[in-house]
Amino acid sequence: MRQRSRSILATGLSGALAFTMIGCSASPDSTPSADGTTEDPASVSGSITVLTHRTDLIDNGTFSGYVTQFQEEYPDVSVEFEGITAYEDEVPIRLSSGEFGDVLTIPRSVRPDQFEQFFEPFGDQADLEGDYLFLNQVSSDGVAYGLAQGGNATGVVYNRRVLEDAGVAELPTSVEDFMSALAAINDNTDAVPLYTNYKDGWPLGDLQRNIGVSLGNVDARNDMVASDTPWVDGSDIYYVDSLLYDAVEAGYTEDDPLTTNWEASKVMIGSGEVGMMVLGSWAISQMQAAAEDAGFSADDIGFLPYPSATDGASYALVEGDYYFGINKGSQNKDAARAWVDWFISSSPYAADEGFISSLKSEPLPANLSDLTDLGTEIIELVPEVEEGLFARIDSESEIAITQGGYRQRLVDIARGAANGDKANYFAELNDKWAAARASVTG
Amino acid sequence: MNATTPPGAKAAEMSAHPQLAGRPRGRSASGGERGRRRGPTLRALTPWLFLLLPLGLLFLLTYLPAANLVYYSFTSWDGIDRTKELVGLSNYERLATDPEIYRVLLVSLYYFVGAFVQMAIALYFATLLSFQTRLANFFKGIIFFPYLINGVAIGFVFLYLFQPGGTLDLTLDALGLSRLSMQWLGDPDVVNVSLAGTSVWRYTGLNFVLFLGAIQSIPHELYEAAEIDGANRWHQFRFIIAPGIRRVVGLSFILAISGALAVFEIPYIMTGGANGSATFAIQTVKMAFTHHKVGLAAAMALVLLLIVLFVTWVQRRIFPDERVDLS
Repeated sequence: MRQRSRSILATGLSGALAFTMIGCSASPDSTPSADGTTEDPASVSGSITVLTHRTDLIDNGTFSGYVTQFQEEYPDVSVEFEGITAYEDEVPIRLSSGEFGDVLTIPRSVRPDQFEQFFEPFGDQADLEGDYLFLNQVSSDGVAYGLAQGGNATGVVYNRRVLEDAGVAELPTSVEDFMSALAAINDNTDAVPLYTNYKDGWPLGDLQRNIGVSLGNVDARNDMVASDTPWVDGSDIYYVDSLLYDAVEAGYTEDDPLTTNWEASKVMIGSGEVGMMVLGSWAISQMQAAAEDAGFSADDIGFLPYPSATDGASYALVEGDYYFGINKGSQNKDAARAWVDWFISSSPYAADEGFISSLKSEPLPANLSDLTDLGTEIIELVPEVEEGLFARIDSESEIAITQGGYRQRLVDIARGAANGDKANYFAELNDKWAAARASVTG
Repeated sequence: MNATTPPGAKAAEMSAHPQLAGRPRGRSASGGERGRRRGPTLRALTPWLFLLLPLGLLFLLTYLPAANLVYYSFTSWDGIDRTKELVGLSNYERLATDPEIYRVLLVSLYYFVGAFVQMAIALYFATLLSFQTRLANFFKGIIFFPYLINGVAIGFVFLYLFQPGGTLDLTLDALGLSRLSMQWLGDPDVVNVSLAGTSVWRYTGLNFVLFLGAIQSIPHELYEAAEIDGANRWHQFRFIIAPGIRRVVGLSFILAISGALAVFEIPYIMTGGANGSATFAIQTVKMAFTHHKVGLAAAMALVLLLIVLFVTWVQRRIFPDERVDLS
């Protein structure tokens, strides 16, 4: 009896210890593989895990369709997906553990100077630039650490019927025409002229992509980093934040911003309850799909260039949407590189989702035809003068330009729910930026 | 009201349960008789072996992360970088010299007042339902049920409730009170009341169950004796029930304060902290993951812990935890 209970206890004890130690596993040793370029397809083998933020494409089977096509070319590579819904919340935490699959979408909170700690180099930026676009945001010290899954253009998604019903004859490209159009929608229709999606926060944060568009200034980020007063009349970020402020102050946005709903907004713009939303070209296909699903026409969704402050010209900034990176500690780097290369050059992803292909040889997608018809000039931001400096000053200042928080407060001030006005809020932001700038560069 | 540690453990301690048995002292224990094996026997070790798993998990999931947090608070880590740079006390210096960081604690006052409302409602229903009422179990179920629902689900349900033209507005219209309608979340003067109300709805059940348990542990002879002496329900409440549940009320009070200071889930899900509804915990999370200042956020979390401990200590001094003898 004693013997049996002792062995049961011993088993239970070791089980308990093992269970407790599950979380303490050491990371596996990684042997660096040979240089990461794609070799002969027949020889590439291995099994890779791909981390992705596109859980919708996993659920509807699109990605497994891609894998089938991929395996026609690389039969010995097996691909498994790990879809993560709150991607930007979860994956940055996993980076320091080394456990983030073989291929992943590079989280936006990683600074360029941190790339080499986590990701495998793809090659020299100068070499890759011949074939690929959008390498600036993913390169550090002249080396590219990823490739874009696709690119976006800045602009405004709108409903054609609403604009017609409001009596707007010509599509607005300048700031004045844009505000007049919003006024017309407000006066002549029941639609919400401009829906901000305040509650979700990230749509307001994404407005930062338009920094530089109003003046066609490709040096916009570098100018901000060099200035102690970036929010000053006539500057790039001033135009972006002012447009939001003025639209809210004039009453052209939703009544109760605290109860906006992203998914509902997609249906609302399709049905004509919302006139415009400032979103990049990545949103066009989503809005069209939502419109069709709700019984409206996808053709009603159009795309305007972001309002320009330059007389007689309009611009659209293009940049990479999300980037593929390869885990530096991956055991299957060749297979991972094969997947990334195939995905970018041979998969229908960019075309189906309405992205700009990151291959230089491919033309612009059809959904940007509205821009090209209006004579909008497509521009790209130049590389940062000092890598990661913008992000470091932004973090230190606690403004978080790429997130929605400070713009939510801007909206609150504009609608009278918070004290202050545009001038002293911008002065406050300038003070924070200057102090952070001094602290980071000083 | 506390959204973190389940107070059930503390409640168990508060009621008169016997302490956990220590090592069994029997003839087979170490030392003692000649001819026995030296050293602790298996029987003596058994309780510790049972405790090994929970202690292991406690260490892994509570003390180790807390120790890490203390370590991070002395660094300027951004949450991503492989290297963590030690910066000494500069995070604490910032916390000691920047009053803006503590402004959000004012929002906790709304939740604190809400907690009082919660306790009053819970006490009222607990008293009512501790006597013989028809359908008592049904009502107990209804009152406790919200506590069982996931916080995210509650957040979404109440978002629909508070929408312009949502459930609350429709109800007011039906009652002919539509002039009372306002922007429940959009109005900065009202948003915290709305969120605190949601929190009250969610946690009243927990207080109710605690009070009910405490009331039911009062011996019934006391009620009979009081009735014979001519006491009515109110007298019974004031002189029998209230003293009898004093310890549970004290406990709920402590939980209310620490819960109000550390409130996170409801405002984070419903408004994300916008429109003046941010709390200290939300600000800490934003500091860590939006501004990439994990070191400062760790220091903020520790400072919050110290504030809660201090308030609890003050409370204990003012309302000492004495045994109440009812007989």
